Amino acid sequence: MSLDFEPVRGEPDPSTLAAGQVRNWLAEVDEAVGRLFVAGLAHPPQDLGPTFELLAHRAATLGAPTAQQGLDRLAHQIESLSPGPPDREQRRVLADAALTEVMGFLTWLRLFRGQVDLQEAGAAAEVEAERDDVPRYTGRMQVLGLYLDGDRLVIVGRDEAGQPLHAVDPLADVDPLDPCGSVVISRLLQRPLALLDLLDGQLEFEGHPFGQARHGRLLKPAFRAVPTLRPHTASYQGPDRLVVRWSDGVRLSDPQVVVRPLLEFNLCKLLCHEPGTAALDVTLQVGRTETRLLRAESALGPLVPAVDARCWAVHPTQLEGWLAEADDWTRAAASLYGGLQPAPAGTDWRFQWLRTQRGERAEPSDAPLGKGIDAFDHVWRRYVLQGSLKRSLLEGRLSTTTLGSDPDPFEVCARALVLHLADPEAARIYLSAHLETVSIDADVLVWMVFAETRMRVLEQPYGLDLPVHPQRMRWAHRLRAWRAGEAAEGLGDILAWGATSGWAETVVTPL
Amino acid sequence: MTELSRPAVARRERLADAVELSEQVLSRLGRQGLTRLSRAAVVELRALVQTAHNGGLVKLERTFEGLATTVEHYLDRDPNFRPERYVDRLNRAWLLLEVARRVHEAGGDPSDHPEALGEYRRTYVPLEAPLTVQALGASGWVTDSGFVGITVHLRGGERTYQLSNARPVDYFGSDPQRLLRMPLSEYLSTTIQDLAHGAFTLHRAKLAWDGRISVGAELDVRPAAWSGAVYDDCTARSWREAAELLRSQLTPLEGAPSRLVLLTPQRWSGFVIDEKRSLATLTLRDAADVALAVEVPLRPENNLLIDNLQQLVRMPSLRPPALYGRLRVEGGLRFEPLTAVYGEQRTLQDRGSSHSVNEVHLALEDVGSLR
Repeated sequence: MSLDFEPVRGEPDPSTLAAGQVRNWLAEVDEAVGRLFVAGLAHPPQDLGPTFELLAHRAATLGAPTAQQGLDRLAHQIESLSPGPPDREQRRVLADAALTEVMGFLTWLRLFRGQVDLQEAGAAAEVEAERDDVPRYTGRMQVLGLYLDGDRLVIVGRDEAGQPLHAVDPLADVDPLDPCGSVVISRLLQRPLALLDLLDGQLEFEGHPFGQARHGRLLKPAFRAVPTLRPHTASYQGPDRLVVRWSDGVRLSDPQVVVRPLLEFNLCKLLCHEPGTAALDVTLQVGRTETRLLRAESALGPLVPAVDARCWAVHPTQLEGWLAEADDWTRAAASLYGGLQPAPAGTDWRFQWLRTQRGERAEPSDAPLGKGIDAFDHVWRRYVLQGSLKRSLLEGRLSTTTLGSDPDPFEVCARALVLHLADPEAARIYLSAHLETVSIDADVLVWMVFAETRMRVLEQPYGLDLPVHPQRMRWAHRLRAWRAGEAAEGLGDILAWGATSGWAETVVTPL
Repeated sequence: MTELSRPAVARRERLADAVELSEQVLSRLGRQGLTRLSRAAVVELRALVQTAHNGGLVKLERTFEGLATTVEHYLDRDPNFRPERYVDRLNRAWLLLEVARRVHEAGGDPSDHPEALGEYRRTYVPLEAPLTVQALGASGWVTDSGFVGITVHLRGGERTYQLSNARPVDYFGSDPQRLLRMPLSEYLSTTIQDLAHGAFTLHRAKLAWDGRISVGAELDVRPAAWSGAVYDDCTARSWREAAELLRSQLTPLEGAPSRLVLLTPQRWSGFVIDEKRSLATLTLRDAADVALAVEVPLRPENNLLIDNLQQLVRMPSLRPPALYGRLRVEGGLRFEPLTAVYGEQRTLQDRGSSHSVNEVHLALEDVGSLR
């Protein structure tokens, strides 16, 4: 059924009207109609009929024939009612007919008034070209390399004349510890993007606004201008590209490159493959205060070792051995976990985690936790975690016999895992007895076990987004559900993981 | 022809009663005129509100409420009484009644036409496919019925959506800003502020016919690619274009049209607090130097919005190239801004944290904290 509603005769057509006069005419029509409804259609004032006639005449003069016809009919009906028939029923019939007429006219008037308003607003002169005094860049940018500043990606490149260009891109949906391992959402390109694609391409800008920064022109995401990424096979051969030698994390050749934790860890892995001194063909950005490593060339193509945790993969067996033998394996772990998240002194969770691992009780900070937890899908982190936990168990720190009266939640979970191997029911009873005391807000390690478990069981990253309040609520819901004997989603997975993981080899004294 | 169920028959009967009774009362109001009305007319109109309610005629019910108030103002010799308002409400009621009659004659049900006749409670339908949306603007509001809330206006595909978060004033106060950092629900970590500044894919969303999105336990929110092009359909470079955007909204039922648009003013001037009209006003001019009136009602929940507008007039460096808000035509174009939209990302300092944003929601965020 159509509800197109057209109770009016004729289309509103204000195109021929003179706006100023129309406003006066509309005001007078409003006033006359108002008087009609104050007095009542059955008893209209005697002067209203001529008034409507006059208004109809003016409508004709203004060039609104529809209004003229409507007002003429209205005037006729009003006049038939003043003084009108003395019979009450006849008067009622006439008044109802006039009501229908006036309502139809008012509906037309409603549309007409809107049209007049719109026409007045649109009657202004044509718009001139928009003022634009913003400097804009049109051209190509060959990408030399990239680095991350928090969640902001900085793309370093040069224009066709070899002049430096920088682009800043606040990324979304980025795994801060493994940004190259998945697709991120680029605000600059306004689309999803694999970061490594940037290394193989060049950006084409058209009318993109830019500002001046220390290193040269700086381009930011713009509202309208969106650069295009095109493949570009020719590698950069400018003065910023040179070979740097590394040995045990110590630079052998100038310039002094700033080595942040992730780069350090990648270099450690590189040195696993190339004992002694490793040579690296890199592109650098030499600044006034620091020199950054933007990219490294390899047989497989360009790498971003300062950003990509997957550079120079080490075989799991090799890494396990390395972790077992390394005096300072925690440094490697810290490199992995710390990755790209600089945190103010005293709030960096990885160090607190390490202290906990060493048996130093420390209240973990939960501020940067979520980002760390989210990144558990990376194989190296899994090995490091597993290795570190194994070591803790072997060293007896997590043994049930050493558990204190106020156990660490991580210890509770870890112990439950081990218990599960021998007696799942005992593990269940143990967990339900102890997790009552768990302070979810302050517990980093439970989450680590939890996230790892999800990874092992489901073979997919679990989108934890800790430590904001709703996630904790979700965790609390799962705890309650698990205690109520529902499916093993969440905490129950911890037990499942215990059965499937390599922890079976770990010998710990059961309860 | 299929036989109607007993509740459906009862609904049809109530609809028929409501239409017939409403027609009688409207005719009598028109015939008698305001001068012959007594308090009994107000009582009758209030009773008609209930009749329309029973008939499922939501918009008519609300129009009768307004009509009763207007008649009461007349009888009380209230200076707020305006004959034009009375006539307008009478006409609107007449139009809604005409639509209701057509629905009844066609054997339909008012709930099948929520856009024309209104509905009591929206029905939300689960979406099977993920819905990708991007925030266009956000507003804060307080209702007379005691709710404070934020509505985020979103664009996805060819449609505009709204996602609102409302809380009782009794528990949350009457400042919409206090809701800004709340999570969308207890199951989600995404806050309203997050949603109001970016693009997201909503999984397992529920949607009402008018584009309102329900925030339920199943909803999952993931980041998506942001695009400046989402504003294309509602952008007006001049006030002439703005008027054209409104033209399609002009219908007999709704009268004065309004819609959300993105305006690109070239000049700002004349910020005035008009206490007589309870409005904060300023003038925006397009490239052809045509003026457009910005009007913001002086209400407590608009305090930050008004402060922000004042700052934008005073400090050209803070002015955005575009403003997103509601444009309506009422004796000329009137604009109520919701959001300042910047061409390049700016840093918004907010309680010790900073966000890179393209938008500042003027009723919810302090434009002075932009860096």
